[in-house]
Amino acid sequence: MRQGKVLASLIALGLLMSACGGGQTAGSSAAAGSGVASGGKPAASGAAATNDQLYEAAKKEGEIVANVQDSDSERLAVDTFTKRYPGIKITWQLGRGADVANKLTTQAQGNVFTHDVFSSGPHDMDGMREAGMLEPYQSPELANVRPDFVDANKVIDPQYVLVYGITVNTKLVPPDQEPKSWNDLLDPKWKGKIAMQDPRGSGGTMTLLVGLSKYEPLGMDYIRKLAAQQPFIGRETNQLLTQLVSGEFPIMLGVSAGQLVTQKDKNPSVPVKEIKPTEGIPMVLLGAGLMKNAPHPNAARLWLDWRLSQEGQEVLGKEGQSPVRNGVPTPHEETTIEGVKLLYLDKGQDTANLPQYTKQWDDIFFKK
Amino acid sequence: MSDTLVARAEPQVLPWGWRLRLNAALTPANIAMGGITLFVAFLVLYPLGTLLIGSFLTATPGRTGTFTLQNYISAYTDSATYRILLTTVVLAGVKTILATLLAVTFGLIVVRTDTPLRRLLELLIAVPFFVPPILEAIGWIMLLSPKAGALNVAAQALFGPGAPVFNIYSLGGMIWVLMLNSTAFIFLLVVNALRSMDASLEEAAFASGASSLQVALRVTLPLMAPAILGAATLSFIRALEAFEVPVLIGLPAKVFVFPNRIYAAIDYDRPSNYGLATSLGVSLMVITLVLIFLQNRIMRGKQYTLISGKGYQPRIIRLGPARYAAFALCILFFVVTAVLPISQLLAGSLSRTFGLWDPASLTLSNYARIFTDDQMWRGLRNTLLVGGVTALFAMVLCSFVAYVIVRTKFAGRRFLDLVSWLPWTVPGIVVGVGMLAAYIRFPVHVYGTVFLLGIAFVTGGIPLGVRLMSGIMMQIGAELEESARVHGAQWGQTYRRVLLPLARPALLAGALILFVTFSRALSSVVLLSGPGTELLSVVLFKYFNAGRVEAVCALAMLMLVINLVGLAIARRTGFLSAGGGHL
Repeated sequence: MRQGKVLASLIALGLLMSACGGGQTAGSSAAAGSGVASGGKPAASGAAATNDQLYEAAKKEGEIVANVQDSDSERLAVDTFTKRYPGIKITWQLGRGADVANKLTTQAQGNVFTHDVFSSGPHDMDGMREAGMLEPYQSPELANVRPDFVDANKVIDPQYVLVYGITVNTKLVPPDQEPKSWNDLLDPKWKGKIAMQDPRGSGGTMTLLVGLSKYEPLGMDYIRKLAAQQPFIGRETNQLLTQLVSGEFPIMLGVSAGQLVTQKDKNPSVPVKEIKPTEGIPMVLLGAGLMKNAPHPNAARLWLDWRLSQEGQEVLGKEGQSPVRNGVPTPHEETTIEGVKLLYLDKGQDTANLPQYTKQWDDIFFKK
Repeated sequence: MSDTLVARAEPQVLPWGWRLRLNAALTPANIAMGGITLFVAFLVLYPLGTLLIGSFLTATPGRTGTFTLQNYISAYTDSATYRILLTTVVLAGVKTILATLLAVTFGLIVVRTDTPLRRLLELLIAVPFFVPPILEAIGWIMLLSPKAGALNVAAQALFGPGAPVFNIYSLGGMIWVLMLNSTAFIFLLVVNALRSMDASLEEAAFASGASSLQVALRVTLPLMAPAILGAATLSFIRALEAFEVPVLIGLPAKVFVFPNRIYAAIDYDRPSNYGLATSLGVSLMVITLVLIFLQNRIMRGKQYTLISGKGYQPRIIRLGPARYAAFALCILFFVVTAVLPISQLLAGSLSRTFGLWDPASLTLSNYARIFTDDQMWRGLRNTLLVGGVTALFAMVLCSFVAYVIVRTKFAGRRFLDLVSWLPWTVPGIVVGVGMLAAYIRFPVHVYGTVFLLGIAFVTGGIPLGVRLMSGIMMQIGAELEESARVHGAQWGQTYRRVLLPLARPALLAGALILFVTFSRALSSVVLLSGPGTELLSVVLFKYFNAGRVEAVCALAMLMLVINLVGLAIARRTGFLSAGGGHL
């Protein structure tokens, strides 16, 4: 999900889609040796045997129903997976993460179980876990994932990371004027010129502000000073981005690095740039989980394993996500998190506190 | 069941007078009308009732919870609720009054004057209705944002840097965008009613020496009151719950209206607090009830018979040279409300990056993307099929409902009238949650099928469909119906052979309007759509969230072309021709 706001941050608008990669064929021979073998490490070879059995069981199920973001990276992931494991069709579902969560919980009350995998930002993931909607599953691939991204509850699989820096319109902000740090945004020359997506509820800006407010030397005081810069607050990141591009404002907050990669893919000459401020960069971890009573549990496990494999993470990184697996490079400077100071949200705790944060942002940004 | 009751009843148990009344009540007509009332009541009250019950429970609709008044307490002990409600009512009121004035003016110009190219103008004025509101809002933002808005930039270039800038992010900007879309909507609703007028009353007024203006104000407009009031009321209610303009323009302007508040309940709480959203929606129901009451008061005891057995064409007013001014006014409206915003969308659909206007970024790849998307094709098929079939079905149903409400003394008609307004008093996303919670447990398997989409469309189409038909039903003279009865026709025959043919143009025009609203419905169906049951509007939302605003524009252009071609064919083939169904 390159698009950040959505799955990413506790979801503002996620969407799902269902394109079925059904008809893909690749020689089934390709599948045999491949599995997890790409991992190459000792742990992976042990997993490979399991993986073959899992594939056999998954083939009998023949399908995976998941909510998958309609992004280029997820399209490529689905295509690559169905070539790697012929005979398993991925059915994508449409809807925003929070809506899908609500839909699945309502369905479960009516004893209807359609989904195998649910994925979204931490707030929805935590909510689904607390509602008992997820089946604990710890992929063997977790051994190769950065330990700080692994779920202590052993229920949610990390997928990839979204980071939120400062986005500038390069036509309006020449290189020597660029803000290099969060504190640079407090310069009077930017007053009234910073756009941001509504920080209340959930979304990229919520992630951003919680991240900045929790870490010294910025803290809650910084957020108040930022509010005093009178930012322009809009609702839809993707609509605001069109205005950043058209030159309505020079600076925008709450755009994930992946969203910028999408913009550059569409048009390399688009005059926008991501800056990683010196104090650190707020991030959010996207997760996925196996559904309780999943109709195709083995296929779902195979899919979850593959997404954390070397190949799966490379595919996700290629189109603009930041991988969570050790040693998987991303081809984009924007989404590189190696050696970058990340400002984490507390897993569980901060997501539970989002209503309080919402109230705080409401007071700081709207009650003046 | 009542039959057996009557058969078994002893005279002393059931007094003689009662039995007579029961017997009289159980006519085929009453049974049919009772059946329709029950059917419509079920469609509307089953999902809304699920929501209402949920708003008194501690859990999300459809789930088990304990009784609570917390949602109502937090909704109505907060003074912000009333402040925001007042802003909303004022905003909706102002834009509805302005839009109604404009719409009626344009309606009179194209139907009742000798303005050149009237048939073309009629089509052009309706065009903004065919643009999804969210894209219309985005188009206006691109035109009128204070620094980079195309019109503001052009004004600076023409008149220098001192030229005034119109800031779309203001109360005025909100009213502007809302008003333009409503004008086209109200225009579509009233133009047929204006056309189907029998001019004999006007002739009589003219014969008594009244001037054109006097006739218009004292005869024509009062006669059109039911159609105009109905359309204006719908437009007003819509403004209470529609979220596009409040979210995209109102939020940056810090002008908060009711939809912002309802969406806050859904967006800021986890899990989404649909109970609170529903309890807030109850105020919209109350406002609607008051409006219906007022409307009934205004129209009570008056006669609106306009279509009689005698075939008059409406009198055409000769404007003289002023007809060119009228023509120019219509064209100006078309350019401002359709050409300007649609030009932004068209440019976006042909561009690599929306907002970056540069010949080097011209591309057809956005169209290539949508035309190679399987989901788009399934969405197109489902939208055309399900939308088309349900639009026709809904209009036939609504014509019955309108008939019962307007033309009969059926005991349940006031209840039916009331129920027929309700689906629009609750925001689409909340209705969608109610539909999901209600139909997942429905004994007949509709969940996950296109039938549920159809049910959602019909339910959501009832308020508009009934209003479209009741204006017409009120205008058809009772003497036509009575003469059919005198000649021995049954109730059903009268409806089918007399009323339906008379109302046919309105019914088909209505089906087209409903189809357009179905084709862009999003929040009410997004939860009900899934693999195999995609809809174009849901696919459009998917592109938007994926950061592909350019593909959104391309898809919007496709939808616009489909709708306009449909409208043009319908007019060409005479389906909707002026008064085509009249005697």
